[in-house]
Amino acid sequence: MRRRRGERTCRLIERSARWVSRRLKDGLLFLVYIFVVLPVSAVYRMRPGHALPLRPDPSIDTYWIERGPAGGLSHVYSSDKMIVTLRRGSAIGGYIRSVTAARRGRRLVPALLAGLLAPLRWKKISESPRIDPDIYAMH
Amino acid sequence: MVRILGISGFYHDSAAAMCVDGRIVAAAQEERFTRKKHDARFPTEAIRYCIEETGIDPSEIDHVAFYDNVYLSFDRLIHTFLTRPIAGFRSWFRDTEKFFSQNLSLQRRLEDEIGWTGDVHLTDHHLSHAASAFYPSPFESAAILTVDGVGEWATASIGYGSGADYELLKELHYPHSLGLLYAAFTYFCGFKVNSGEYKLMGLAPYGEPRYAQLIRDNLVDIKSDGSLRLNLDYFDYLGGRRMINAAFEDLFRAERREPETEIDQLYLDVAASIQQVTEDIMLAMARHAHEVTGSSRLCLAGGVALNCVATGRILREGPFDNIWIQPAAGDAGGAIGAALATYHKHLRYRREIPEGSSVQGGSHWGPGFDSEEIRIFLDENDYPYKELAESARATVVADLLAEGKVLGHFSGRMEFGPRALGARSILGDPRRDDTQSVMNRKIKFRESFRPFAPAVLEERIGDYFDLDRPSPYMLLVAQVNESRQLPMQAAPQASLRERAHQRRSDIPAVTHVDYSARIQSVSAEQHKKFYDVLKAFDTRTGCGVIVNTSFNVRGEPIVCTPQEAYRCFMRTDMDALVLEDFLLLKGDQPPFDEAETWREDMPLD
Repeated sequence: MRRRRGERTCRLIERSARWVSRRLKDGLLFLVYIFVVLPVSAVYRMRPGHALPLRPDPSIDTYWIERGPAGGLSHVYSSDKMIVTLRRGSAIGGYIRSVTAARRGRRLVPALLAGLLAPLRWKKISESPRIDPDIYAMH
Repeated sequence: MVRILGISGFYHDSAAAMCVDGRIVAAAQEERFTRKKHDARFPTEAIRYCIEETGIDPSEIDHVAFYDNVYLSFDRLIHTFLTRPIAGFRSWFRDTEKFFSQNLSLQRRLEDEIGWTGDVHLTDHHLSHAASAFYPSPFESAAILTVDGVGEWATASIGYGSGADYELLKELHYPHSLGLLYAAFTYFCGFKVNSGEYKLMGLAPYGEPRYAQLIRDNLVDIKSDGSLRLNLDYFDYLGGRRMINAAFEDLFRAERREPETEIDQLYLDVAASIQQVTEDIMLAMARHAHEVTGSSRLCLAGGVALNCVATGRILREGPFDNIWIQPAAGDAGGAIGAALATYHKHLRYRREIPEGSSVQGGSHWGPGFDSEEIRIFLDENDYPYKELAESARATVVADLLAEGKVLGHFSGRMEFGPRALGARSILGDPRRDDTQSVMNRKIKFRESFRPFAPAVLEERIGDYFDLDRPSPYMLLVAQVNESRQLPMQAAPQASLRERAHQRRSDIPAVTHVDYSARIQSVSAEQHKKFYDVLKAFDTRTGCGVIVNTSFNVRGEPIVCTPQEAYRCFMRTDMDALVLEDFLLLKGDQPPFDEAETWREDMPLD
């Protein structure tokens, strides 16, 4: 009886730990978003001529925007920077996931290796975020 | 062999499509499985269907493609928040939470649901739409026009496709969007955004476009090339939870119409006005696409491309010899587009256009059930039925229709896209005065003003409609031939109900109040059994047209399985149900044991 109760408690702790680690990963991503992405975007948005236009402009002949060679947003901002920032957040999340996997005793070596190699992924991604002028890869 | 799984989702109409060597072999919308209309959740069930239908193990899938660049969409979320940080905080927080738990965890979901651990290709939203319009089209080269609410930053785009490659040349950017403008008026007229737009289009012919100039002067600046910019002083979608604000209501001197209340003349006129403005913009955009690309053919996609009155005008008044519209023009079609873009544009495989048709075929890519499966279902439940011989099937069904019976027609694989094209349809006799009201009130449980679409024998289109080409996907609107039109009896100031119920032609159930009809032409190549029914009805009555509406009730997705078809049949006043080769008559069926409150449980669309 006591043993069964102990097993239940262990399972509960394990489930809770898994839930917390997932939330932690999401939370960390969220923090990266709040403290890195949002302020950078805010500064960028404060530059003259970069605010979202909210009213018609009679002085403009056309509202069509030419799509640049690097994709639709090249003339607005460099989307690649955004992607690298997010990838870094994601890689940090990858670390946490690796540690969680290791704690659970599953795929221990691959998980640890993936965690250790994560910074290399940042470099690879920051060098070449696009695999095609129009199609991104989510690694 | 190259196997690509295309996915769309998280905004509305999630879907999955399996592409093998450049051919779509299975595709379905998530809503058909979860029974939640316009379901936007990760398309788990649709993916499972694609895997089961094709027998492809997840480990054998070479690429997975998602129809939207989640990072760019995320960037739009940030910029929108920074534009209206205080007013928009709540909606931003909600959207951000959703974004983190859904869009950015796409790979985790794929791993959890089907064990897929590879890379996911992200095609830009409008690139997906453009691919879904160009690659399945029968054109070797064509101009491409995509128009929707918003995808990442783009709200409309013009492109050009040739052979296996295509590119987008120009875009309009958020927050200036024709789709969102139309959605704002959908909201103002008391309908649900992302769902009730086609109701607004159906309502428009009852009104006068007396507010069109007011809209042009105050709400939207339209350039001669069709590009536009909205005046955001009148809209609230950047930060608030509504599409419009008080200034918008002040402009029309009316508050937003309460859903399910009587529709006043003002809202009819507003519907007519925004429809006219939308058509003018679409036409100008199409003309500009022609100028930019020099092409004589046009492919269309994006939710606004489902506005078949506008696309009908492009066909009649535009500079193109031919146009092709993706039947799943909304976000569901993005799943096809993402898969095909990855195959042709990224992997650089050449494109082959089938002789005399298109890759889209009949758009029947959903689940199908053979006769044996249906027999087992009927026998297990003791539902009385008659098995129809193949040679007699069409005649029996046509006879029932000619007697004024309304019946459910369940035949072959389910359609991909919002239209029922004969595989999951409710059919009726278009010649009868009461067909429209009976089908609206007692079967579909929907608003009485809404018109039904005709399915017509392809070879007899010209006998009924002012249209010189096939319209296999119910996407072209044309006038009923003048010789068939009857003068209007009801005065222009008569009530909406009176005008909706007057006889307008010798096929009144499918003739709208402005004598227009949204036509589906049917050929034997696209759906043999459905074609045979039409042919038999023509032989029996001399009428080559029948009413074709989707097999569902209001607020419910189109039925997918025989079980759902039977349930819908028993819940409504349908007289008969044809499940493949089995005929079920309502009078023969045992009492249907179900709570009476099912309609209250069905959310309004």
